[in-house]
Amino acid sequence: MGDAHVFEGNRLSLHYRLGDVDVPALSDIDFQIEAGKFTCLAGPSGSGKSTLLNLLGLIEPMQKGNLLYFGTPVAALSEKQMNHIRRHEIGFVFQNFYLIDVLTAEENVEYFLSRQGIPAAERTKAAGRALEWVGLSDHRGKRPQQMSGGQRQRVAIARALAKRPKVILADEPTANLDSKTGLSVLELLRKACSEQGHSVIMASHDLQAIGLADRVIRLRDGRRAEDV
Amino acid sequence: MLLKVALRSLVRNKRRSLVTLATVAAGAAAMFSFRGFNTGLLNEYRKNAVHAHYGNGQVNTAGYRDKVLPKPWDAWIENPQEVLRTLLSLKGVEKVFPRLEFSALVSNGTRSLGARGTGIDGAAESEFFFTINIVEGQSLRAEPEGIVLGKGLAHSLDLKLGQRVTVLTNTVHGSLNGADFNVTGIFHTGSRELDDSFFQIQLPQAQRLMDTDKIEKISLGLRSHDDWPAVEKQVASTLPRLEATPFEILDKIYYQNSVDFLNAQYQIVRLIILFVVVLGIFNTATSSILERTQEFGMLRANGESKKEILSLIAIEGCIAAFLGAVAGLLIVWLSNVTFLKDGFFMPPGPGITRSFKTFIELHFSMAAESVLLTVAAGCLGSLLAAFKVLRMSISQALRQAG
Repeated sequence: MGDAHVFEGNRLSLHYRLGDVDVPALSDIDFQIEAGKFTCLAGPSGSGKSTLLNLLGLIEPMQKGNLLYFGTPVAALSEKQMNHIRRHEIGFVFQNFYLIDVLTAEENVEYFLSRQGIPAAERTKAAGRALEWVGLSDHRGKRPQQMSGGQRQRVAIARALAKRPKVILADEPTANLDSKTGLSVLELLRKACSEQGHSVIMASHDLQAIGLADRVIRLRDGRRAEDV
Repeated sequence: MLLKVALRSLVRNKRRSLVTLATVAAGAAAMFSFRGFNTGLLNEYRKNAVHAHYGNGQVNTAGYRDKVLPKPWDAWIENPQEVLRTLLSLKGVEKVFPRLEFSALVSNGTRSLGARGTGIDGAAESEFFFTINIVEGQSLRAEPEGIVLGKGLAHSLDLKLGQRVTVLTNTVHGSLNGADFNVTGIFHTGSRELDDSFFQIQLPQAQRLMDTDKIEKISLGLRSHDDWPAVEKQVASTLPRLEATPFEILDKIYYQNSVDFLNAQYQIVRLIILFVVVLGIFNTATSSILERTQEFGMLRANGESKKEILSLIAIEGCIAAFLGAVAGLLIVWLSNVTFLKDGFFMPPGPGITRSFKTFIELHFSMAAESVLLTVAAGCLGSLLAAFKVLRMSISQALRQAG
């Protein structure tokens, strides 16, 4: 990682269209996110933290402003380049887990490794390691519907980690979990940052998450809280 | 892994998958059986045409069929015995039937009518031409003075079986000649032109009436009609003054037109079936894909391109369509070897005056065609259903309620 900043945003704005109404989700946001840190995008519901996370994950089309990914303008990236980055460099952890329900825990982790072109034997080992790391070695053969919410989120974290991404983006990963399970998930993400060196960026309004972060970017009504 | 996901996705919603499989199975079965039915029907038509009158084809002197000649006997076949021997020696030829067609007056003693007579080898032809519609009496067989008349001609002359009839004709030298015959049979082709004017007598009698030892044409009976192209080539090389014409051309009105008609009908039915399959798959695939919108969003968030998602959906559609098509073909095949194995009766078709038995004739090529077309239709239906989801941005797909 040559650049010290994973992301750098300059006057980022984004509007959603709801029927005939334009709803501003982000307004002129400036920020820098350092590599190797646990960054939390904090704010109440509707503050724009998930929208910003989606922009960072290259899954929300850019509208206005400038966003740099390791110094490269995202607006200049082709669809193919963005697919490559999402496949190899970004790991996602979602609030609703989004596991493939017809695959086992191990296969869910392996799936994206196979899409990265990693040979079968190697990816099985990698999936095993990732599941062991999140404490689910004994659950590798289970399907998502046979697991609890916390276990599913751990599989999602293992799936993101196994890709060996440069950055992990987590969108409200504890929102659907009880506080104890949520804390264990947060600790895993914290560990992924401190032990494995991943840059972790998490959108959350969970105070526990905010407490564990190296840095917090506070948002309110689509703006940096400090700017409101 | 992609295949694993595609295969397992088939059992996500068993009821929906069953509906999909049933739709495709019904489409494939309909196409397969309809094609098999058409083939069976056409084979019956062919058998009827071959064994009613024409044989597998006919040999004349070259160009004879295309011209109207003032003295047609000048272009009749000379040395018939030698020609017949040569034809019988050709690979694929099993039977040869010399014929002589001529114009005549047929009289019952009080009334005369113009008619077309054919001199045939009655004994040989009675065995091969078994589908001729004899409505009274029997075919000519070995009866030396027998005559078999078209139904309309017999009716016009009020002739009954066993009655005497006089045939008058001009010889090839222009003089008048005549002979008496016994009515041994009455036939009905369904063609008014033939039934009102045609009759058959033994070939030697016809040659005597025409005062010639030539014959006009030779009908061929082949081991298999598939041998026709090879036989046609052999005739051209060994008997260059003669030409062979297949029965499809001789019987264009009934047989070839029926083939063209049934094939055109099949094309239209096939299009309708495929349209129904595409619609059916589109309907079930749309529900399935919309339910999985978030999953597709997650896949794209992790680097899958739209094309790769389309591939996944297409593979799933193709697998479902393939399984459905195979199930459909199996059902048709099983039905055909069990309760349809003895065939079934059809009402009279073109050129046939009686109901006839037909079979559903199934070939591998038909099965392959049915599977390929239904798989393509299934794939198309799935892809059409996928476009709505792929038009969404990834974040929109992830936000979509499942």
